Amino acid sequence: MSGALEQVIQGEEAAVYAYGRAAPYLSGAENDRVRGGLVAHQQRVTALRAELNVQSQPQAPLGFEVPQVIDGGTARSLLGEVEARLSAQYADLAAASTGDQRREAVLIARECAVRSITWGAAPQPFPGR
Amino acid sequence: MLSRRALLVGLAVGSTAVVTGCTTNDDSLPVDPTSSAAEPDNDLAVAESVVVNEIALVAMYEQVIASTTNNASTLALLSEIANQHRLHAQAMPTTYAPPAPSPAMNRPTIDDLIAAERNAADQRTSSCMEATAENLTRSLALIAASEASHVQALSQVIPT
Repeated sequence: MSGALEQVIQGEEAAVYAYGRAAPYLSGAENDRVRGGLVAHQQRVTALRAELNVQSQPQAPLGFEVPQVIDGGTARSLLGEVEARLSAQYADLAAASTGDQRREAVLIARECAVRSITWGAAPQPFPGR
Repeated sequence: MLSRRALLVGLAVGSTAVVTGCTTNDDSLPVDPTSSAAEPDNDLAVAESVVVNEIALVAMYEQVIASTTNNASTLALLSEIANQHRLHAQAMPTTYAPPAPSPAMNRPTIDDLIAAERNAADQRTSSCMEATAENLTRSLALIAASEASHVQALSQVIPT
């Protein structure tokens, strides 16, 4: 389970990074959504890291390899892709967990897939796979 | 919160029946079909109920596609999503080929599809909680996410 949890934490940290990269290229209502997404992902990182034993917490990465963001289009594309990938990581966490934690993971996987669409990504049969 | 209407649509969609030649195994999909024999009866029942509902969703999309009121881009989206439901059914670790559903509604609209997708996402979430095999659980979580994303994609369709 902790492997899947670590993967999700890294995915959430990647999402925080991606939202930060995308923010300068999106304005108005889209920028509001970027800020909302950023806060949501930051909160998840904090909550998820609290679930892991301190000694086993993965190091926060220094950076992520992401496609070049040069305008609104590439910014939306990056966020759509990051959210879909995160959805799949939460599905892995659901598979590795039980009870309330599994339900929570599925519900967050759904949220991520929805956000992926709001950034212009096409629906996928198995988001992020 | 699920609306009463969505619940009714979902129940109707999930409970009807007639025969199709749909198969439910595909090696390219997330669940390994060869593992089905070893899975508990509970998982098999979960998988079969998902197949029934996915095939019913496909039928509902086909009804909406058959109507002439949708523009080309909407039709492309509807066809794509219908195909994704076929893939969902094929991802289930069962060879169960359900009877094809008789129409659950007379002339379903995109709003009806949205309600059915919302209900399907909730059903898949519940099924995910019942599943025991890891692969099935993962597939159901992904399908729940996919169906929630369908709700969003359909909500963005501009009415014609």
